[in-house]
Amino acid sequence: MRDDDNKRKEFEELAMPHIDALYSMALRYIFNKEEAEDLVQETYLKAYRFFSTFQQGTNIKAWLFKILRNTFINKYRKATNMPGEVLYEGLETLSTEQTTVQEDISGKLTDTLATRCNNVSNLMEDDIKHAIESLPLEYREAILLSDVEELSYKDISEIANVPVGTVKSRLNRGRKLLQKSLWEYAKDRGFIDRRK
Amino acid sequence: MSCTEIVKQIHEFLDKELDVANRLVVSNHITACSDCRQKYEFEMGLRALIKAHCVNTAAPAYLHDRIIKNLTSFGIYQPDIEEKQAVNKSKTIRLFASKRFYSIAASILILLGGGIFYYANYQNGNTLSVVDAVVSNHVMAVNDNLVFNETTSIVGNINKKRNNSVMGNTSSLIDAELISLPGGVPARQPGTGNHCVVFNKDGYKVSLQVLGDGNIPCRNLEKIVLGNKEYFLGNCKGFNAVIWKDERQSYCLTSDIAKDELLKFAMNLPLR
Repeated sequence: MRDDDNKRKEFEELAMPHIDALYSMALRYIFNKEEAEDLVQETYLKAYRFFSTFQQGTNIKAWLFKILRNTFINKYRKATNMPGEVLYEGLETLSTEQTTVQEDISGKLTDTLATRCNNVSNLMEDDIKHAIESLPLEYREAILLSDVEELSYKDISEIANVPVGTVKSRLNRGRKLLQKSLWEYAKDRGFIDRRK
Repeated sequence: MSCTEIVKQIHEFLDKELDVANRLVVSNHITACSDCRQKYEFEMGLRALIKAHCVNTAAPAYLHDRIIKNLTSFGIYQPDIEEKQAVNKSKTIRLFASKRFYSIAASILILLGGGIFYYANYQNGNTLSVVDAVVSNHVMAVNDNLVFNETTSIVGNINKKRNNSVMGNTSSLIDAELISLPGGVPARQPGTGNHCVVFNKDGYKVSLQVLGDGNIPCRNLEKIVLGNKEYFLGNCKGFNAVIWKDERQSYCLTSDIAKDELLKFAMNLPLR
């Protein structure tokens, strides 16, 4: 029994501080508060059950994120696999064709905002939310794990179960998409001069 | 390095993924070149914006409490059934000694009743216990061999003994005497005599066990007929199990992946 109590205490100390991060990620997987709560709870129960397999000294946050992701996929993407990379092949060619356009866009953004990023924060909260939510799941996930949770490419590759190279390309494409949609919003709201 | 090359590396620079030499090159370049600095600052600002937007979401306080409460009822997985029963026994003794005994006497009675029912079922080799046992075996095998993280916890006892590299090797480590599967890690369940193979399916751990050559009691399980084969589906402790028979013996596939996925997988297994 004492062993169990110790394990329990250790689990609470190590794992519970990450509840906000997990909840935040869960919300960006399913966009629904109640379901996100259930997802986080299920994640913790699973993690607790398998806690003996967690390797001390490795990144527990990454471990928890991996369980969260697996739980999410099991629950919400049962029969349909995660949409394969194939789905985005088209998008890739599209974006290579548009590379010049996109570089142009980010160039314009930089110019018109006169490098004052503060201006970008004039974007409505909702715009940012939409921009993030409209990203394909793989890109959204990679960007959030990298930019918000500051996990390494290696950790992300383990969480998403793909090679590091794929993580990099997801991050690159995701960031381009994100920039593009934020730019559209900024343009719509008149932060960027339409004539330019 | 040219500006184009620097810009290409800005993300990795921001992600702290560049090696020391490259990091220095990029940071020096950014200091010196105002165009690249603008791009860099823009990227940084964008990230700050995304981050600021995302870190505002805190989990509700009651969720924390709910999870903590649920951990109590859940318990860490106890691989050994006898051990589990011993733990339960000591729990019961404590309960008898405690003052709360009378207030929860009723629930204990119910529990005991359930326990007897369970035990009786177990003794009878009923379907409940078949699924329960395979799930126990599965969890034990997975715990012994590999869980969740392919790169940190793959090495299982068996592999250590056999001096094998894990997973990638397809020929030498597969033969668990009765089962032959590409990409599997064999494990023999202590105490059961059942052979079990654990392997990786899209990052999930699936175990295949041989249940024996006799008939297995499946009457209470969900039955699905596909082609000329019958598959029985069961669920226990959040794990799904698919049980089926061929001419020689009965098999059971177990994992926490979805039922239909598991079934599909079971149908396509290249069994010897």
